[in-house]
Amino acid sequence: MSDDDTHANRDASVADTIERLRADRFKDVDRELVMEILRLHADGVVTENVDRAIDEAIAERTSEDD
Amino acid sequence: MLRIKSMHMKDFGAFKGEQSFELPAEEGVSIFYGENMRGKTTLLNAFRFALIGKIIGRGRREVSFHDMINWEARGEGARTFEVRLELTHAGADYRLTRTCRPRPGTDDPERHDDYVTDYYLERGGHILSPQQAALELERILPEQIARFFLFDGELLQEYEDLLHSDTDIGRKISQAIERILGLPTLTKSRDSLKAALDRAESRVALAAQGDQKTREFGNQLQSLVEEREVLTKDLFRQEKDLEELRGRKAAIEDDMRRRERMAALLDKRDRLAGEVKVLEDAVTAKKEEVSRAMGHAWSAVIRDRLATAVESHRATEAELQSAVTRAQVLKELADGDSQACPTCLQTVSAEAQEKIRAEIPGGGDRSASDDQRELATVRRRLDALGEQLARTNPESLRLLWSDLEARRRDIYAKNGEIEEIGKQLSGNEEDELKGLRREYESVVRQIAALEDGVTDTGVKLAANATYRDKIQKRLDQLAGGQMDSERKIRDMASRLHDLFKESVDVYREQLRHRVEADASRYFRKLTTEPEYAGLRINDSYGLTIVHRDGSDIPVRSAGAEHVVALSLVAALQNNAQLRGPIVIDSPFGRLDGGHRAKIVETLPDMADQVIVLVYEEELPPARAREALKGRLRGEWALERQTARHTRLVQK
Repeated sequence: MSDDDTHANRDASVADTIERLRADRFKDVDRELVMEILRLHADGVVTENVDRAIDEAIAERTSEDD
Repeated sequence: MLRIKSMHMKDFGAFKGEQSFELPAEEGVSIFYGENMRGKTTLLNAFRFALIGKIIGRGRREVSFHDMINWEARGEGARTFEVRLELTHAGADYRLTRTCRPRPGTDDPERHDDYVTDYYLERGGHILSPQQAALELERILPEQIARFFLFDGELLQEYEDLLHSDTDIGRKISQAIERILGLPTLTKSRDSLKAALDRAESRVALAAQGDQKTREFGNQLQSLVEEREVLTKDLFRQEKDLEELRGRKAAIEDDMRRRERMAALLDKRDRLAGEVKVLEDAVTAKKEEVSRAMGHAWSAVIRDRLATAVESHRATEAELQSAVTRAQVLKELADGDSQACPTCLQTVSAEAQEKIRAEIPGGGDRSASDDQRELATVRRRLDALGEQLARTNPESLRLLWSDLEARRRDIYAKNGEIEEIGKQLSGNEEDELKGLRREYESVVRQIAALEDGVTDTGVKLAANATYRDKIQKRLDQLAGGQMDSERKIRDMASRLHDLFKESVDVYREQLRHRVEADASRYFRKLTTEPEYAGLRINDSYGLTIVHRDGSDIPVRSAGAEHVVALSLVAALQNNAQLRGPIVIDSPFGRLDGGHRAKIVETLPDMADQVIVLVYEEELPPARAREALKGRLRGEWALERQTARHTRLVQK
């Protein structure tokens, strides 16, 4: 298994866990929004102004629903 | 994963001058053989120094940089040492160089603080800025994670601490384990979403204040939001302080554990001092007793005469007692009070009574009372003589002296022990330990107070949340369409927060099961005991051996601890989001041949790159080659040049 595959599998494991829970009990929560938030907090990722990025992602998603 | 391609050292510990080695690119095991004192632990420290800038000695103490410059080189004028690692990670090549040199302005460095270290990191041949280098190093192998891959006997104690989740060291290690397993991605997300929810609620309150219909509730909500912010800040501060205090407590516990022998000596000295005090009080009391006894010692001179007098008085007492009794009996018979003789119980006739009356002069009253008076006098004398005779007993005085002397000898012996202990303790160490104990007690008190504070703030925050929830519901009923967007954002943030909060718990539970399953698998490979079925994990990632009948094995030997620790390291490697090489110093500890053979066979499965530091008796090269076969990728020897100079030679 290559390094990238290993990483992908580990990340998928976190993503799979949250996706199973979302699909089961939080169907109203947008899947892409969850993934976006995970990406913003991934290990080694340095996102400047995470707070603003999250606020914008949530606002964007709720306005799309309208 | 992170892979080490090569290492280059300059004047690092036993490794004089410039020395380097390249590790094979293929997956497998590299072995460095070296006898005791040749530099195996130094080599492990070279990896540690390059990666995290620390050098750890026995008892997990940091080693002075001054002592790490090669002794011979220092004698020849060297004042610096350096370690360079070439690494690969996710397809990129890195070169990490860390140097230790005297602090600017220090002409003659002598102590650890006289030195500074700095490093630079190259990626793909380009030197990264200090900020970029720090971020990159934190990304490819953070210090908290590196500790699990640079493995030596000192880690065993840390794993034992994991079994007791109530210890602060155990708590810190389990946090580090969760870091390696990737949990922070979820916990950071959850915390960010909590902050996003708080901000969304504030915006709802502001929007409500702007409308006549909802202003009242908007004001109330705003007050509650402000109160929550204050309480949250308080809680954050309290938890931060608590974390620092727990860290301090763990450090003190660690320090105290290292000073256990000295602490035991101090305790013994204090106990002996207490016993000496009790003995001295007893000696004082005994002296008074002896002094009182000595006051009558003169009467020993007349002891024989006293004894004779006592004997003579006892005879007189017996005679008088007999006379008094006889007189009483006769009088009773003469008076006719009783017709039966009190001695033989036969009936006394009237004739015999008459005869008795005639023989008692004056009715017998006077004579009997004279005898009684004399008897009382004799008895008083006997008491006085007996008392005096007892005081003249030389044996009791001897016993008193002997007891006094025994206690004095005991005091000398104990004072002698106290003096011996004093020689083993330096004033500084004693003061430091006493200071540590005082600080420990103070820290424990502060932690208890802060924990109460955290609970209190938590209760207030929960009450605040209940009120906010009520107001929000009222606002939702009253508000018109102009607040819709704020409310939707708030609701979405709330749902996201709930989702991530639950995910943290679910993922943590999954991780624990995965680590338990993998550690059990490795443990079964490593142990030679067929009745051991595996390992059971506790909340803080501590592992307990489980028998095949399902019961726990509560007490573990040092060897079993070692095997469990290796199983955990391998399981963490398997489940880690960030993976790296395992560097193991003396992996066999006190294990027997059976366990050693199993460990050697399992080493290649523990990580893609395994570097083992051993001495040849632990792992004979022929046995290593036989057991590892094609998975043994390289062998080096740490060859003695002088007592202070070791050379790395590829075999």
